[in-house]
Amino acid sequence: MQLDYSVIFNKIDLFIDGSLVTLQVSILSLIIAIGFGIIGAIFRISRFKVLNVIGGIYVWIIRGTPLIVQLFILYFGLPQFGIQLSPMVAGIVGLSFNTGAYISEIIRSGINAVDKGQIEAAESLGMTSTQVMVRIVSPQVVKIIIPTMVNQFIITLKNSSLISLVTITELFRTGESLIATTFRSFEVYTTVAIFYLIMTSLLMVVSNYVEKRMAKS
Amino acid sequence: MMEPIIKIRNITKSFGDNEVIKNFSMDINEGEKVVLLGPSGSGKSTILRCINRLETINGGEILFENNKIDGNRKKLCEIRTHIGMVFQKYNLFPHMTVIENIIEAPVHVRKQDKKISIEAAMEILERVGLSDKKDSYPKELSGGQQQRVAIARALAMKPRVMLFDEPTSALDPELVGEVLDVMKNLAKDGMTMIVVTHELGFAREVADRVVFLDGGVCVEEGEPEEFFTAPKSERTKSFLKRIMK
Repeated sequence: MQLDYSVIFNKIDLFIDGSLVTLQVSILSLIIAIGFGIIGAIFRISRFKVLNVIGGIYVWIIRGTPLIVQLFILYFGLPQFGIQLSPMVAGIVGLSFNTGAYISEIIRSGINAVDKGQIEAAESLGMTSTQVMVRIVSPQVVKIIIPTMVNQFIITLKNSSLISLVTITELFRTGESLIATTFRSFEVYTTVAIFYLIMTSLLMVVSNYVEKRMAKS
Repeated sequence: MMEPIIKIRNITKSFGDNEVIKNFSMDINEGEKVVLLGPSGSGKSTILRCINRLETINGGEILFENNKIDGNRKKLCEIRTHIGMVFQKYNLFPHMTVIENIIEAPVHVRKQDKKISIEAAMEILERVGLSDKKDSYPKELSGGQQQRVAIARALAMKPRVMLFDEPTSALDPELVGEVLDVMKNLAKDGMTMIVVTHELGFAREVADRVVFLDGGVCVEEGEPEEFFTAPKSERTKSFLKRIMK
């Protein structure tokens, strides 16, 4: 059978639109996920046992269940309680809640990597625990976790393909619907792959740049 | 007779089942220089760390200017601003320059004006002989220089007492002198100092009182001259013999 990529070139704007939706959902989810991640990490290192437990359960459930199941509970399960989320809301909430759990673990290990001696030095100068966190620990944590965070960003961007299953027409679903009309599976899926590769590569380029700049200071 | 600035009353401290301080008491007077000596594991560093509550005591009490040092975090932060501490491993903030390290607490804890803090910091840097390093990062400095910055950082809060926890133990031998010189000058200026060290020369020259600990109890204390030339306890004698070789 002959490969025919002309169907792709004719519909290239669909792939671009799909990629933009993927980017939009991913970026929005990541921003919210960082919020979840920071809160989760604070819970887990808190002096208060209750918060430790809540943070632990969050990470335990999210890491222990598939993203697709989490998304389906949000989109198809909640309507039973009269809560009908729009596909976009369900997709973004699901993706960010999921990513947030992983980010909270990344932040927590970053905090643990900061030398305890500096924390003692800061405390001995009379700093409150909030000041120690904000002034001494977090600037160093940011530096420590950047490579792992970029890795997580890439995973989230790729995971966003799953939200096609709650009927969001992002890159992957764009491909699916094109195959339904053209039957060109190989051409379409390879093109989808290339578009994902372009986005993840851009992310890596940006991260390399940031990492180099951070290393200088 | 003046009230002691720090009173340590019958404190005990355990790590798990291991009791490292057993019913230890000591008063420190204003301007006094006390050196804590003893083999490793004798509890001397732990006593120092209990004074500013980096370790919490299990029994007894510690008073700073008659204020009890306890779990009250607000009061604790306030008391800590009056007690400077220098650590074995310097513990400078690696993401800040020398000057930023020094003004961090004056500006953010004491809410002092930044410009005034920088001027004061420069004066202190001059005293420790590092004016030219103000914009360096800690990793660009030698161990001795880092420790002098750490002393400057503690001094910037104008503490009433300075605690030194083996300040020269992590240094290359040729860098020990520069740190001890700074400490000797500080002593000359009348600073109240509690020093954990193995530098017997320093203890002999600077200390008003030497306290020898073993197994979490005070075995012997006295003026350095008497302590080093005519120790009373057998344990002190054998310790000094070992360490002076």
